[in-house]
Amino acid sequence: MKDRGMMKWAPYKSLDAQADYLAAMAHEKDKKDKPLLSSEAASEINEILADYRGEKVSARYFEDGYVQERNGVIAEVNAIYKFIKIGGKILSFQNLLGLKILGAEK
Amino acid sequence: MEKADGVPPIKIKALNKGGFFFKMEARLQGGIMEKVIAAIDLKSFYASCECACRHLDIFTTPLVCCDPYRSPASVVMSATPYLKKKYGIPNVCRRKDLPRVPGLIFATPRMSYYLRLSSQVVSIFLDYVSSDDLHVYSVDESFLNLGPYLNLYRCGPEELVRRIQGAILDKLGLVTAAGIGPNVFLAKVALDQEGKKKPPFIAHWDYEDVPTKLWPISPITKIWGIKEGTSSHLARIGIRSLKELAEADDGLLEKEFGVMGQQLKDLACGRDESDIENKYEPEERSLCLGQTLIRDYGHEEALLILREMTDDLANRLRRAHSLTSKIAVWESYGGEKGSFARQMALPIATDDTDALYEALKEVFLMDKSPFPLRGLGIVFGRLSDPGNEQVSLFLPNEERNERQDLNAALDAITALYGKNSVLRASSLLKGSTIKVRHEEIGGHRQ
Repeated sequence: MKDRGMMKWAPYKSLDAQADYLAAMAHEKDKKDKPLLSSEAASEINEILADYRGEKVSARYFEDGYVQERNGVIAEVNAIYKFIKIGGKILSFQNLLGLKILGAEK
Repeated sequence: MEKADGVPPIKIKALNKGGFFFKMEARLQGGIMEKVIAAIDLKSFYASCECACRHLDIFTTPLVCCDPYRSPASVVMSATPYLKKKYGIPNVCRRKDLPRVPGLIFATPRMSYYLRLSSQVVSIFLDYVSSDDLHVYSVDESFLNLGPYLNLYRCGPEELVRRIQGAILDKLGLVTAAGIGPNVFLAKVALDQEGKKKPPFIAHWDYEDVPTKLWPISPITKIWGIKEGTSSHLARIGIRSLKELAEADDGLLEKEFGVMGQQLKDLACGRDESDIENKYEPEERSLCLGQTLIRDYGHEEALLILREMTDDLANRLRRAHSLTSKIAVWESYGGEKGSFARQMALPIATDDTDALYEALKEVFLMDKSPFPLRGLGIVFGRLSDPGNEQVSLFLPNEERNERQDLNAALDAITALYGKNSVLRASSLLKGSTIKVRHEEIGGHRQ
């Protein structure tokens, strides 16, 4: 008979809450420092924003220890408070890591 | 440990200790790896957590985790090693069974604190090994495959375990015990039979220790995996020791125990092919929720509890992205008065709270017993994927969508603001238990 392997050692499920605490711990532990933005990448973002004509974009940004991505049309570029708005989400300039034009919005 | 031919040691700085590069470095430096498993257990975990936060020594402090304001029959969840050794108090007992101990400290249990500390212990394990080589077995016990890391840390398994134990003691003030072995089973038995018993709380067993350390263990129920029923069954066929089990005829064991016969023999021989890296994810086939009622509830009043439990379990069902097509209710009347349990198949799978409550209520009302209730539980079985949902012919689409939206909105509110953020008005009734239940974890205070 084949050994049942780790099936024999299935964890106790008596406390469902333990899984939530472990997930929260793993989430905290996986957090990274904000990547440094090169001057080339910063000027590339700047150029795209300066020439922006309502195309769909893909934005990479840093939030709470993780690099995220959001696609959509930039609804607002606010130079005074230094943020852009994509699909209702406000992304501050200082957290932007990259911006790519995906194409014209249909 | 043997080095793999043609694999030069590659130096990759371990920037991300729990991540891929860390693991790769360890694996490449280790070459062909032998399995070295450590079973690490937190001593008298809940009581130790309470001692740690009071800066008290678990070996000299009389402390129990037990709510002194609940009934004398309330459970002592954990006692310090001092109490176990000096007064023979078992780790779990009832408050009324405690002997008179001068200066005994009662620490009111608080599960969220214990679970937070438990996850911090796991976080320390992950400072040393990758998550692939870690198996969290329970709130206070984990298995680590140290094999791939011994070359990286340039030490033997005992030294690595000592470092991990030291880190847990320094950072969290918790004492751990460990068993080391060539497989999960022998590590676990080394922990239980030797590691837990005396300082330095580390025991290392190997295959050659099987005849001298494993086989003399008696009764055989002391080892993991052999329960009382199995032991009696083995005795009936003339097997009373682990040595006799290790030498038993394969055919006889298969005839008596079916597929488990070989597993029993493997354990007695100290064999276990479990590989921590091959994670086993059990399919969740049912969800259940139960509670012991603190007083007698008449059947009509108990419907309120049934309603509240349905709300909670339906929320869990939707969080698990599942539907159920089989429900069950159990009731207990306390003492010797017996119990009631009945189940019902649903015509279509659902995750709708109201539909589930109607079905549960129908089953609940089948109970015609005159006795009041002291316990109530519900089960959602035969879980399925929402992608397979059938459309009800009896409920108009609009109403179905409205109910789905309502459930989704309620789930979103409770996920964001807590379980007590939105409750039925009936939660204000005297018989309601939902608010208190939401402030507990596993039936104990948070």
